Formats: sequence, structure tokens, C-alpha cells
Amino acid sequence: MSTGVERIRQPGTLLEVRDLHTQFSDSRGTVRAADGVSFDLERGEVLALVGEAGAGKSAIVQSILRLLPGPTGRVVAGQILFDGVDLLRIGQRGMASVRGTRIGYVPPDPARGLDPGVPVGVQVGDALGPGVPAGRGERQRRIEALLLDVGIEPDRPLLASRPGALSPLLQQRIAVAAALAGDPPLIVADDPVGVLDPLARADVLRLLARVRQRRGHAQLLTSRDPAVAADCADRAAVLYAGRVVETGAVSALFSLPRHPYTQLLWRTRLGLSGREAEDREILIGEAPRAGQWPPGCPFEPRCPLAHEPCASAYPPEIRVAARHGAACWLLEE
Amino acid sequence: MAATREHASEPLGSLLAVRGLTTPPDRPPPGRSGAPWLDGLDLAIAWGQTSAVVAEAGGGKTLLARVLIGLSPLSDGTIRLDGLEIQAAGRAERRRAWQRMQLVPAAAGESLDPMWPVIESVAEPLRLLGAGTGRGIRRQAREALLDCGIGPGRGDRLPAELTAGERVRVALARALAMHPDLVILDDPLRDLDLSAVSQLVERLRGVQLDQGVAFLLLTRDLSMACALAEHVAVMAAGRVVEEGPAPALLARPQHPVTRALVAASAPFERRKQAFSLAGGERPTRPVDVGCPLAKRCPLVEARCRARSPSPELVEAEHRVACHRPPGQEPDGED
Repeated sequence: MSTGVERIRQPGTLLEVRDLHTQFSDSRGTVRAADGVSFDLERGEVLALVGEAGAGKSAIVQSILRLLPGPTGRVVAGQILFDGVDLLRIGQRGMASVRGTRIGYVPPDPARGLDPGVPVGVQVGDALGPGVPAGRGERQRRIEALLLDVGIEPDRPLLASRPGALSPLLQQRIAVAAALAGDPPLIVADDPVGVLDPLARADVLRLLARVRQRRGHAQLLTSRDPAVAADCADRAAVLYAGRVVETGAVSALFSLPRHPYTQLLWRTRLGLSGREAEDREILIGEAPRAGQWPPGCPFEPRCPLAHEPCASAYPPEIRVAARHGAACWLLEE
Repeated sequence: MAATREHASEPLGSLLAVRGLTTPPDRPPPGRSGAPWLDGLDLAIAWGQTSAVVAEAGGGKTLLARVLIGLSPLSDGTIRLDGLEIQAAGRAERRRAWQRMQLVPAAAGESLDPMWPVIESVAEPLRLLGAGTGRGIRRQAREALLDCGIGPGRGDRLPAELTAGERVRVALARALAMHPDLVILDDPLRDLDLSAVSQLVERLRGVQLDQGVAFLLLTRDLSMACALAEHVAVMAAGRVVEEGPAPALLARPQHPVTRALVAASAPFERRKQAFSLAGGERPTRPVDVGCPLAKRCPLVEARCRARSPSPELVEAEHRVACHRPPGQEPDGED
């Protein structure tokens, strides 16, 4: 498994999300968490969804994995094509066979993704699935190999320990091992480092890069921090108020951002890194809460460059370069 | 800073000078890892400036905040505020000293009373202090909120009706309403969006310019600490392992912990080759002999296990507690 040989990437699109609309409804009303989201992911590629709280990251991930909290959350329109199959049409039983073996999932908070009371060895074994390795010895060997893959020495005390007693960093490494168990072509990691401190964060990001290099799977990551995307992803989609406002290769996206939100988000991030003099132009105001989207472009109230059509109509997505697009009226003409 | 002497702990001219802070040994229940501890921590905070203490999650930031404001016991060490040794002072003096230091606790936004309009939470400590009439107190509370960017319309709302960023700024207003000399912010940036962080930072700067208040920022993020503070101290294993002016620390980190933090927090840098600490796990209790970080350190030598390093000056105001002579680059990363 861990031969160190980089797998050859197969060409082609692995995941295609088309015009996804996901809503949460309760007695107080309806929140449009994803409001017409489209993106695609090539085989072996790493795509990051970047957005602040409420931008729709988790709603998109939960829609893909069919893990929306029912009965309030549901996908009202759109397609999620995974390997050519629309995941929205295969039912929960079909989906159960996709999760784990075809799509591995790393949850945002390891403390919630793992059962705190069940020994590590048992949980990683469960992730392997029921039928896979026949003998006990073979099963044990697979569990140990998975833990070694994520940099954990699979000794007896560790296999018997319960995640609740381990550090968040170790827990998250074990969650990655569990996601890798079925050797899926896609790993979905929803804000995998959000709760970790910077050292643990760097460790998990390095780990994700390493396992991808070895196994050649695609990754869909989400983060509130554009630096995480810049660091780990090949491409990123910047989300604002339930929409993709800009998408492109991270090198272009953050060195030549075209949407004012991406520009300000990145400048603010650099200003808060202590390395660059803080720009006078920082992100003002706060993102609208999910569902309270104004008409027109949702960034208009905070945009320093807002002008005539912005408040009344949502801008079209404009191609600014190959595979680099932004939805902003400034780019029209 | 005025205290540019041989040792970090010269309290000359400092607003707050702490020396040798040590907490009593903690006996964790079996099967649990130990709670954080302080082990001879020295720190000096200048008047009207922003200082930061950076430590990992579970590294003792909250414990330090609690010790400073008298909520957690010390087994050794002194805390001087404006020259007054707090533990040795009489009760009335001690209370006054604690009033001059206000804490914005961790998850401050969630600590507001959910049933009260937020202005009431800001007014409450003023009422307890007897700081004027009902109307006067409301006016002070409203001004403090305004300083923190919470307008009159928002102040009458319940915490749940505000954004997470606004709630943290309400907690800041609650601290500032007491007109303290020092506000201790316990990880205020955690769980906030970049938008909310930039809002908070703008307010902190504005308030400091207007009122000359000093901030002590406790955070896990070295790069944000360096963006906000003039002076930054890195804490590990209950003591300060490196401290100095923010630009010096970022440009020339010396201690292995600082170097790992700098490598981990650089935006837009592929981290595969970055300097890191082995295992990534913290020690769970104080060591008796040697450097407390010897187990994690990739540069460990025999002397590190034999004796604990003491802080030494490597350049102006920049001190490091590490046996490895500064400037030796073992892994050629530069």
C-alpha cells in the first residue's frame, strides 16, 4: 500500500456538481444554503471550497454525501454526477455503498466523526467494511497498514485506546485513516483543520498531501482560510452567500484574483499574517447570515467597487482565463 | 519596551511584570492527560502596547489568564501591576489592581447572558462596581459598545441576534467599560471568520489609540500575534521559550517551537518541507531534569537532557531559551 510510488492519474472528470440548490427549512422559514452552485473535480485533483461561516461549504459537502440533517435540509434542485452517476438519484441504500468505498469522508470535528468510546482498532476495522479481508490476520494487517500510512505506530495500547482520550491531532489522523480504508477515488474533507491549532493544522495538511501523492485519489477540501486552499489545493472555488463567486487554479486565483471579494479576503489574510504591511483596504462588514441574502450580488453591500447593476441583478460568470472564472459585473464588457 | 536588560523579568517601567509564575502540581485522574501548568514563567507587558503570548491548544493560555487575574492559585512567583506586588497587597488594593486588568474570556461571545439585550451585559459589571446612576451607567455602556463598533440599534438585541464577530466585540466592550489599563484577550480570534477578525482588529487599534489601553493577546496563531502585537512571547511547557519584537520573531525565529510555528503559519507556502516538531504531541507533565521539550525537538543534544536552558539575549529585546547556539542551521532550510 505505502510503496511510495506515485500512482498514475487517470484523465477525466470525477465529480461534477451542477446548479445545486440546497435549502434548510423550519417553522421560521427557508434558508438557501447553496444557491445554484456548480463546479467540477478531475480525477486525482485537489479542489478547495473556500468561504466564511454560512457561505455554504458544509451544505455542499452534506449534499454530495447525502448527509443533510433531515427533515429540515434537502436538495431542491441540481445534479451531483460522480463517475457519471447522479448521486441524488440513487437512494440512501445506494449511497451507503458509495460512502466509504467510493467516497471517503473526513469530518470537520474529529471528536464528532469518531466514536469517542470505541477502541481505535475497532473503528478503523469497521471502516474497512464487513466483507473485505477474509482472515483475522489479514484484517489486522490492513488496520495496521492504514495507521502506518497516517504516521501512527499501531502498537497494542494505541489500538485499544479510545479516541476520546487522544489529542485532537491524533484523532484527526485516525479519521483520515478511516476515510482511506476503502481506498476510494475521492476523499471529501469538510474543514479538516478548522478546530486544530497551527502546528496540528500543518501536520494534518501535510498528511493529506502525502496520502494523496501516494494513492492518487482526488480530494475535495473546505476551509474558511484561503491560505489552506493556497497551500493544499490545485484549484479553489471561492464561495459567498451560497454561490461560487470565483474559481480557478490557486496560483492564479490568489496572485491575480478578479472578484473583489477574493481580492479583499486574500489581502486581509496576508495583512493578518504579520508578514506584509496591512493594506488599508480590508474586508469591511461581515458576511450576511445564511438565507439573508440581499437581492442582486450578495457582496454588493460590502463591495468597495459596487456600482449600477450590482444591487439589482446577480452578475453572470465571466471567463477571465482558461479555467478561471468570476461572477462580477466589473468584468462585463 | 523599556525593560531591555539582561533578563526578561526586569519590571522597570512595565505595566505588568510577572516573574517565575508556577502553578501547583496537578494530579489528573487515571487515563486522562494532565492539565496545563506554568513552570517559572517570566513576562513583562508595556503600557499602552499590544503584547501576545502564543501557545498551542492546551498549552496553558487560559491558565495564565486566570492566574493573572487571581482566579487560579500560584505555588510560586510574583505578579506586579504598575509596581504593586498583587499577592502581597491588602485586600482593597488587590481588588483595585484586578479591576485595572479585565479579561475577555475564551469563547467570549458565548459567555453573554442569552436572555439579556447585550447592552445589559456591558452595564452589569459597572452596576456591580456602583459606577454611577442607572442612566449614567447605560450611557457608559452605550459608549463602550460604540467604541467597539456596535451601534445603538444592535446594543438592544439579544446575543443570538448578533453575528459571532459582533458578540466578541460586545465582550470587548464589557471589558473596556471598566476603563482598565490592561485587557487580556483569551484567544478571541478562534472560530472567527477573517471578516470578523479584521473588524475586531480595527477596533482594538482604534481603542488603543484613543484610550492608551494595553492588550495582552493569548493566541495559538503566531502569525496573527505578530500582525497585531509589538512584542510576542512563545510559551511552551509552561514557560516562555522565546520572546521579542514581532518582526524579529517572524524573520529570525530561533527556538525549535517558534520555528515550527512560523513554518506552520506561513500562508501560501507548501508545507511539505517545513520545519516541524517530532510527533506533534505535547508533553503531558513538567520534567524534572533537562529541557522540557527535549522529547519533541528534532535538534536535541545530550546537554538538552541534562540541564534546562535559560533565556539568553540573541539581539535587541529578542531572547531565547535553547542550548542550540542561534544561527546554526542543521537542516539547511534557509
